[in-house]
Amino acid sequence: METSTQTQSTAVHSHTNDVHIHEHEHHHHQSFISKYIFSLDHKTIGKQYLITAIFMAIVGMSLSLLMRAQLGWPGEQFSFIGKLLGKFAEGGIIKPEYYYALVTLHGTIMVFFVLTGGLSGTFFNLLIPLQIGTRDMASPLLNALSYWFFFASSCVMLSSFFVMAGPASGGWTIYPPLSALPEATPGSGTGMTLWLVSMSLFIASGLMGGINYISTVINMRTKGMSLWKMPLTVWSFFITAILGVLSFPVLFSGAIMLVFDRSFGTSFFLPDGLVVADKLLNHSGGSPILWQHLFWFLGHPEVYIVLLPAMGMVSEILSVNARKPIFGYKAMVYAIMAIGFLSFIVWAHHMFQSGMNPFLGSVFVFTTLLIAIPSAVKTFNWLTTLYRSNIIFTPAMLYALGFVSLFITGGITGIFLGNAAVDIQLHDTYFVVAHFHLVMGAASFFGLFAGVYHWFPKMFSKMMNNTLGKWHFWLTIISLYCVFFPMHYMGMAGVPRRYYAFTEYEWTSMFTDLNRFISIWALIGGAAQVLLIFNFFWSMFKGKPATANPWKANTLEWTTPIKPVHGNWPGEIPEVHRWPYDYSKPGHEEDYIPQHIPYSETGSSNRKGDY
Amino acid sequence: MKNSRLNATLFFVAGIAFLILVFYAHFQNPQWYLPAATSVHGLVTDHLFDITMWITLPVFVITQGLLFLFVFLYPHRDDKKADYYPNNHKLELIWTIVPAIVLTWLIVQGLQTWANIKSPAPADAEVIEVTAEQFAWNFRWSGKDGKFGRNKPELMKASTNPIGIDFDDSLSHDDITSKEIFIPVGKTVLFNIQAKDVIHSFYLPHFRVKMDAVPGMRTNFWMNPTMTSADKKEDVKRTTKGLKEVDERLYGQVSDETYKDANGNVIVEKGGIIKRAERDQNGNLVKSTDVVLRLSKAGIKKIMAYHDFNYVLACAELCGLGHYKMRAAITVVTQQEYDKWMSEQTPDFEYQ
Repeated sequence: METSTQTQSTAVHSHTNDVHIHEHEHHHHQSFISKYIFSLDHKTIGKQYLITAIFMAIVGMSLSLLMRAQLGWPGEQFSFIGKLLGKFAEGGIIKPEYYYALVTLHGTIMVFFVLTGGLSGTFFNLLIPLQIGTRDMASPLLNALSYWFFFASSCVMLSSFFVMAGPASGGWTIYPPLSALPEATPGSGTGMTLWLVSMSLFIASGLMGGINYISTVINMRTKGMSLWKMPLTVWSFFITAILGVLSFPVLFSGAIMLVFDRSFGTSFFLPDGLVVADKLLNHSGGSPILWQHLFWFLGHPEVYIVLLPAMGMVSEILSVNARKPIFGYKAMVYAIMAIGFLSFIVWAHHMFQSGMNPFLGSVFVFTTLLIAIPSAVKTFNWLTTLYRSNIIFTPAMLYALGFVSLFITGGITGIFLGNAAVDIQLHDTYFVVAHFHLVMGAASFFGLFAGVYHWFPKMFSKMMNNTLGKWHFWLTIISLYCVFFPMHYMGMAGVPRRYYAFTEYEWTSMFTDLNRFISIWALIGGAAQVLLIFNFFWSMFKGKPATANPWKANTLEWTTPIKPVHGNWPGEIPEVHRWPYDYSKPGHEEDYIPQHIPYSETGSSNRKGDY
Repeated sequence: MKNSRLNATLFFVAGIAFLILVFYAHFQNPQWYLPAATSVHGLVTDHLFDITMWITLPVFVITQGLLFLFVFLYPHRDDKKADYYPNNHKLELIWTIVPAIVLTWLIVQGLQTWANIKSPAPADAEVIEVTAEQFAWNFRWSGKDGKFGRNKPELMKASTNPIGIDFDDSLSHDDITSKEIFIPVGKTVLFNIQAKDVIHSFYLPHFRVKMDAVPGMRTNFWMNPTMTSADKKEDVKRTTKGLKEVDERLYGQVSDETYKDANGNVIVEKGGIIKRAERDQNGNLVKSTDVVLRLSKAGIKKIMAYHDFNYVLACAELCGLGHYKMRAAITVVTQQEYDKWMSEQTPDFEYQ
């Protein structure tokens, strides 16, 4: 009943796929380089993204631990930090210029390179073709290029650690004039140039990927895979890709304008009468606020570019392991769309105290708080999915459950911050740090972790170790809460973020022991990630062999052979007959019915108005 | 499945422990919860904060509680099947509409407050011009004529004329400048804010004032302080005074008595700040200057101490290397003290 109205609009049949079958039969013998390095296979490209992202995540996390060392033990001399950082930490104390570089690069790497490039790159590539039933991306070449641009941009970003004055140090938002004027701070020299070059490459990569994901989802679904039969993973990836394609170009144009301001004497963001270190600069007519509008026009959708895919994967994993249909499938899709749409009209809530017209602030209060509605719908639907379920505690499931908890905690504080009047006190304090680390950082990481544990068998034909996975989960979630929860209190008292030390003020130094507590838990949480990394690489080689459908899931990727083949299905691509969430359907013997099983085979469980 | 049971229980126990800890932490350290504002509008925004807390806290407890409860109640059993319960329009309608209504109410409250705070300052407000630069704050009062003289970027010299006052403009002749803020209690103060080099943020945490200082444009914020510095200091002393264990938490607090070591040497005097170890010229810590270390060496386990309190202006927008110490003092005094202070100031012009 539901589907009959939809099939017309999505009458995409597998004729494109038929062509592919013939092509792919010629491709069996590939050299090492074309198979693993310059591969055009979406599954390999997904793995390339994942490995790169793991490396970047290790870098990003190490940077945060260095920051925590400084904040937890201000002025303490750590000889190994001195050896590691050389002139940036003479005597083992990190210098302010390097601390600010850590702040900047930690944010940049985590937001863009791990949670955007890494998370999207890995799972969009792996899952979109496998779950919609196609043999590869719309353009495998563009897809490979997208990865290599990502790789190049990662290299450029990391190379900035090796320039004389150090990496960019204006925060990940690189507000000009600070970021535009090398005389204002050392990191705004070569480090900033490399940051801009890297981000330009990154955006190019993101666009190539995004266009590809969108066209693949629109055009290449297998027979029967109407939009309303797509798993929530694919829905969230699809909407995310659209957000990326619409918002990243704006950051790109901003970055180009900033390059011109820095190198070619323009004044897009630089006003009249700038006086830096007693020197009058001859810029004229620009506005620093303009940069903030351009940056946050990407920057806010970016938050959802990071979060929506995690939501999609969590929805899928919750449903599979709860052995229960996701509650309110359509509402979940509409919520994703609503969040995606709203994410474009809330950007200036990052700018309530920036000096922009306060009336504009009012508008953005309104739109910002509206986002809480679809978010609440999603939360309640996840909870109802768990009600009277039959939960299997795989590591992926634990992470999905952890995601829901983190999303609630971090989401709720957004209601405080979204109200401009309350935000006066909280803006740019540790309250914000706690909020976005929980709701977007940690929660998205949990989505990423859940995805890795859940789809590892599909990627490497091996199982990960469950016990290690569970230890990893418990240590991670406990340390996360111990790190970020206390920060709310610092934020209420008004402790500003991006402070090299809190010892300069009486009102911030009362948190000395709290900061040490946070730092200790950050170290524990950091150490716990060794469990994941070990488990990941060890299982890749020594893990138990995977079975065809280890989690008894309904989606199409589990109908492919255990050993992945080029083109995904050796024979015809399965046809889809039902929605992906027929778990524990009454009248059916098993507690799952995969999407490709026709209703003619499940007579006993069919019901009126089936999806 | 044993493992399921274990993880379900773990989840439940950890979850409940989490909720208990949230409340425990709060009641152990009530002083950490949004310290009271000392401005008229700050009391209103704090009230809005409290309202939001009262709305969201039950949501937080109920949703987290349900999560832990469901996980606890429904671990996998081979002999049982989950409910096939794909949707319920009525339920979904409820949890779309109820949050929508509550949020609408919050939005209305928030917008009214915001509009009041951002409305034009009363005409009789005391006007202070704020100029931010890496890494200092400069303040200017208009003097007797009530009008500020011009300032020009080309005249700005950090050491002699940081604001770039143009003394050819006679309006500037009675302008008064300072590196600290003095304001009278109970009177509206309007800050006109500008920046010379990069973006800074004019942040008075105790007064709930935050406004970016943006080069090339002027921003402003007005407020009405409710408590003098002296009263607030006394208030904080009263509420935080007590016998406290000698450990690093004492740093920055004020000793309420004189403490001596076995030889009769004074470690800290009554009213003295409990200091960290200082550094010598080589940057090495001199342990003998560390009050906490000396107290514990002298075998003193607990001392009477209280928190010191000073209003402060801090920078809240990353502005470069000195961002974390870009501070200035702000003192709220009575009107008489304010008038007296003002009459003692010499306009910069007279130094020219």
